[in-house]
Amino acid sequence: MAQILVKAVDATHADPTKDRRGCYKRGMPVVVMPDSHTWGREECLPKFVIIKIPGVSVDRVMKYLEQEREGTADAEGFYPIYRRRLWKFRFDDMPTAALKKLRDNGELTIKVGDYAGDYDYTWLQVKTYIRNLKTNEDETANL
Amino acid sequence: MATEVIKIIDPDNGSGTDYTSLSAWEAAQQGDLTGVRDEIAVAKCRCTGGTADTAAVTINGWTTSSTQYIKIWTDPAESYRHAGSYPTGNKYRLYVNGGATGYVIRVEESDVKVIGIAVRNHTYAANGVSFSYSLTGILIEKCVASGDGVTAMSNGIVSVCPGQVVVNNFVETATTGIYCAYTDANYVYNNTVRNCTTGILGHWSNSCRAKNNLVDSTTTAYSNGFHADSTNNAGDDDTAPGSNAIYNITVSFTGANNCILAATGNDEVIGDAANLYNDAAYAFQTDILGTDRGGSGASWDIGAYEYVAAAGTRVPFRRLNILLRLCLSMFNLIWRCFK
Repeated sequence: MAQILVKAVDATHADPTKDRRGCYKRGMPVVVMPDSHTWGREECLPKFVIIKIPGVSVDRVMKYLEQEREGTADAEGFYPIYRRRLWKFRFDDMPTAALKKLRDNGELTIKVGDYAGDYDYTWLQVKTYIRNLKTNEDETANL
Repeated sequence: MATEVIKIIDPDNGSGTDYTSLSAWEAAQQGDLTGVRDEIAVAKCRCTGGTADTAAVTINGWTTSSTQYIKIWTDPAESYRHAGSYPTGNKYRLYVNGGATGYVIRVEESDVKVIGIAVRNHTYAANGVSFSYSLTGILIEKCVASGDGVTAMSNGIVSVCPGQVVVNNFVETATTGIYCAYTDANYVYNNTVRNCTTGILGHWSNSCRAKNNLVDSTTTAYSNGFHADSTNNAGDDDTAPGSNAIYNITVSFTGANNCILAATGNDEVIGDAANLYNDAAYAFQTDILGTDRGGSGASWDIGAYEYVAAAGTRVPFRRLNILLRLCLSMFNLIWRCFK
């Protein structure tokens, strides 16, 4: 029962390291909420889009919020962030119809499993547009 | 002069909500506050329906200055701030459970003020409010950092930045309450730490200026070195640093998980703090609840909570007693006149 709030525009920083570590880029998931969640008035276009995945638990989707971390801990035992998010939706590579729907409505509904309601695409179709930025490979796992 | 741009964060999406999590606010607002924005970015946190904010927050990817800063807070003029303990009900709080995050709030930018926020971390060996090294302009004030006792929170509040001020906070149930183990001078004033393995962890470089802190129910109250300016700290063993240290205290709180001093049993800490009204590094006058501690020359209490307000119940009682005696005497006098 999850919805993912995804950044729709790039944030940028003049320092390239900070830009990579700190700035959310278009397609990066920000937070995951349950189906029943209602969003605030600025959690929408132009800054965000929402990917709805009805019937899938929040816990199963949380992995897309993971940050990419460096391999060595600092003096405090904290593993510094290498990139703000490990995963990214490749919106700009999606079919034109999907992109248009995101631009017009700010959301896509994805069917997973036995979900019988209205949807735009299936997880099978969408997962190949979710890239692991560390391995540079698209998602293969099912929800 | 920079403009304050205030956004409302409310997990319950009450009237006027801009973002339903602090994390979404940060993602939307991150950018250069010093350029054309010329802005103070303010996240005003509410909780109108009792729901906790459950998304860990990282502050990163911003450009700030001492006058164009980030302020995350609960407005004391509203009703959403904690009351000296990790809250329930309609009080804003960040509760992070699980995931790969190492913190509830992680700050990687300078010029950030976190005021009146309650955080709880359920993730094993993770921090409450954490800062990366070498940031400047960092203030954490009137916050609550709490482990839930189920998993071990590592550090409640991390204080490792040059000039960082940690004042009037309450930390409970962590491996280390306040972690100051770094070389840069930082200021840890009037905090209360309870139920931790180590209360306040200093550093061999003696960088931490600890004043008026109250540490109770720990294995070791204070550990490693503290600056010679440290003063009026109290602890439940003999490790309190600096001048006027109070050792082996016994204190009494109104509850097992708060910093509110009880009406009795606290003679060792009430009125025994240094007055920091004119402190050169960070002058202030209120306690964790915003209660006035009194200006220059006033007698302050050790810890985050100032008993002056509660002491009002004692003084009026004395006054009431005198008033009653006076009334009784007058009644007797009138009675005798009629007699």
